[in-house]
Amino acid sequence: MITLTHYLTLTGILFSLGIVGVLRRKNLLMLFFSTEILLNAVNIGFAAVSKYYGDLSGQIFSFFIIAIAASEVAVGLGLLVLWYKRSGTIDLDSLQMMKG
Amino acid sequence: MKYDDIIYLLPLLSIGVGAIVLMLLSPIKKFSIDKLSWVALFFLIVSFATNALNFGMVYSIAPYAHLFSYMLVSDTFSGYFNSIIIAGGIVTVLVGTHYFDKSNMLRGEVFSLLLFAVFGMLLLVQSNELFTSFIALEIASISLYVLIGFQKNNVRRIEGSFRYLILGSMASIMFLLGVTLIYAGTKSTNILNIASYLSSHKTEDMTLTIVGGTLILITFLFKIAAFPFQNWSMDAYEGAPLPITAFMASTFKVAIFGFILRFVLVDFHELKNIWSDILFYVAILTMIYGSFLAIFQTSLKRMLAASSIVHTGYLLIAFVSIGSIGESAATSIIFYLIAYFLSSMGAFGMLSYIASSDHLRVTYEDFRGFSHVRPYMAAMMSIFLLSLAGIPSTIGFIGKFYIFIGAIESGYTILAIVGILATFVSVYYYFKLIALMYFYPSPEMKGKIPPLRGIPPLVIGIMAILIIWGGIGNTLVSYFPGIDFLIDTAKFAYQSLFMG
Amino acid sequence: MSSQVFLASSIIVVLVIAIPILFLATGKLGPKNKKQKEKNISYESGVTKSIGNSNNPFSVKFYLVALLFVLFDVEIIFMFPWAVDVRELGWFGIVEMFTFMALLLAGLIYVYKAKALTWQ
Repeated sequence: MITLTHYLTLTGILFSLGIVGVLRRKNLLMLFFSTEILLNAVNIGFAAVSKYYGDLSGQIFSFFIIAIAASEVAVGLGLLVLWYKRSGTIDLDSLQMMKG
Repeated sequence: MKYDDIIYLLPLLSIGVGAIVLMLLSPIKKFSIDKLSWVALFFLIVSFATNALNFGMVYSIAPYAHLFSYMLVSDTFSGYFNSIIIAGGIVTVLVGTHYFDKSNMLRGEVFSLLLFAVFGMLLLVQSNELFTSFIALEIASISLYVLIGFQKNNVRRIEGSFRYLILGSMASIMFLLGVTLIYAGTKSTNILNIASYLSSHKTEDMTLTIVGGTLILITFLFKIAAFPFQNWSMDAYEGAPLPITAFMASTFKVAIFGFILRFVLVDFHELKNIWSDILFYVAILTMIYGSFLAIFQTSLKRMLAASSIVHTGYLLIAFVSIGSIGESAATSIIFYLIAYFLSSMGAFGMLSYIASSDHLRVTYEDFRGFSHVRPYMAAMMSIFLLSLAGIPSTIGFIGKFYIFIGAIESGYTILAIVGILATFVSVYYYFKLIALMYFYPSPEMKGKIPPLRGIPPLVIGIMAILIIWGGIGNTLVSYFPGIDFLIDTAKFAYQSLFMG
Repeated sequence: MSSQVFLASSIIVVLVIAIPILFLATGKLGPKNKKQKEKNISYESGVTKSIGNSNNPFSVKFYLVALLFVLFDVEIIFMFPWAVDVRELGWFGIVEMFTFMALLLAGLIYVYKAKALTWQ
C-alpha cells in the first residue's frame, strides 16, 4: 500500500537531488534541469497532499506550476542562447566577470 | 451576478488589457516608442483613476467571490499599495521614454513588459491566497528578468538578468515548498482559512505551518534583498537599464512588502514573535553590510543600489517591532514605503534623464560642479538625496522618525541605535555627491547635459515638491492635507485587513 | 492535523536539509567529469561509425521554434480538466476557456507579427 508518506518521501528525495544539482553543477543547462526537478518535486507533493485530503485544488496548482515552469525555462533558455552567442560557453563560471 | 463589483477589479483589468494591447501594437512599425508610451500611459492613468475612486474609505470586499473563490480581495490596504505601484509605473513611463528613445532599446515591447510587471505586482497585493500570490510573483519577476536583459547587445544586461533569473527561480521554489507544507498542514492555501486554523489549534500542531511560513519568509527576504540574500541585487540593479532599475528598486519592493504584510498580519498573528528573533539579526546585518557596500562605490548607480539595501534594513526594523506594536509598526512601514518610493524613484529618474542624452557613465566624478551648469536639476537631486539620508524637513525624515520611535517603544533600542548609526554613515555617501555638485567648478560640462525641458524634468520636479510638502506641508498651511492625511490612510489600510 | 501528514511532511524537511549536506560534505559522490572517448561519441542507435560531431552549432531559429512550442504546448494541460467537466460547467465554462484561448491567440499573433516564425 502506497501511502502519503511514500509520496512525500519521493518529493523530499527529488527536492534534495535538485538542490544538489543546483549547488554542484557548473553547466548552465544542467542548472535549469535541476530547477525543473525541484519544481516537479513540489508538483508531486501538491498532488499527493491533494489526493490525501480529497481536495482537488492541489492538483490544479500542479498544473499551474507546470505552466509557470515552462515560461520561466523559456526565458532562461532564451537568455542562455544569447549568452552562448556572446561568450561561446555555457559554463557557470563565465558569469563571474561582473564581480566588483 | 453582481455588476458593481467590477469597479474593484478595474485597476487590475485595465493594466492587463493595456499590456496585451501594447504587445499586439509593438511589432507594427507605424507605432514609435513615443506613441506606444502614450498608449501605456493611458491605461496606467485609467487604472490609477479607477483605483482612486475608493480612496479614503475603509472597505474590504472579495469581488466576484463565487467566480474567484475568495482568491482576490480588494480593500483599503490593496488600494493604498496599488496607487503606489501604478504611480511607479506612470513615473517610469514618463521618465524612461526619453531613455528608451535615446539608447538603442528600439523595441516597443518594453512598455508591454512593464505593464505586465505592474499587473503582477497589483495581483500580488490583491491576492488573498498563497498560490495566487505565487503566480503574481512569477508574472512580475519574469517580466523583470526580460526587462533587465532586453538590450541584448550589452553583455552586462544579459549577465545581470541571468543571475537574477537563476537565484530568483530558486527563491520561488522555496516559496512553493513553503506553500506545499502549509497546504499539507492546514488543508487550505487561503489566507483567511489558514488564519482561522492557526487560531483554533495549539502551537504543537503547527510545526509544519511554521516551517512553511519560514520558507515563505526566506523568499520574501530574498526578493527585498535582505542580508544573506542580497548579492543578486547589486548585479541586477547594475545590469538593468536605469529606468528599469528605478522601477525595480522602488516599486517591486513596495509590492513584496504589501504581500508579506498581509501574510504576516492576517495569518501569522500568533507566530510573529518566533520570527522576530531571526529578523532582528537580519535587520542589523542588512544595515551594516549595505552601508559598508555603499561607502566604497564609485558608480552612482551602484551606490543607490547598495543604499537601497540599507533602506531594506530600516524597513526590517519596523517589521521586527510588528510583534509587539502591530498597528503603529505596520503604519510606519506603509508610510516609509511611500517616502522611499518618492526619493529613490526621483534619484534614479534623475540619473536616467542625465545619462540618456549621451552615454555618460554616471559616477560621482561626472557630477563635479553640476550645480553651476544646471542649478535646478542639482537642487532637485539634492532634495532626493537629503530625503534618502533622512534630513529633517523632508518626507524621508518623518518616515525614519516613526520607524525609530516604534523600535524604541517596542523595546528594540539596539535596532534603533544601529539604524541611527547607519543613517549617519549614509550622510557620508549622500553628501559626497551634494558637495561635489556645489563646491567644485566645472566649465567643460556644458552641452553634454540635457536641458531642463520636456516632461521628465517636470515629473521629477513634482516628486521633489512632494517630498518637501510631505516634510513641512502641515506646518505651513494647517488646513491643507499633508503628512497626517497619508498616515491616516495608512492606518485605514491596516484596519481594513481585519474586516474580511 | 493527522499524524500521517505530520510524519510525511517532516520527512520532506529532514531530507531536504540532510541530503544536500551529506552530498556536499562527502563531495566525492557528485559527478566527476571523466573525459572518456566513448562518452563523447554521438549516439546513433547502434551505428558504431558516426559521421561528424553532434556538438556542431546549428541555427538559432530551431531553438526559437522549440521554445515557442514548449510555451504553447504546455497550455493544453488546462484544457484537459476543463474537457472532463465541460457539460457541468455549461456556457460559463465555454466562455471562460475561450477567453483563455483568446489570450493565447493574442500571444500567437504577436509571435507571428514579430516574425519569429519566418525562416530567413
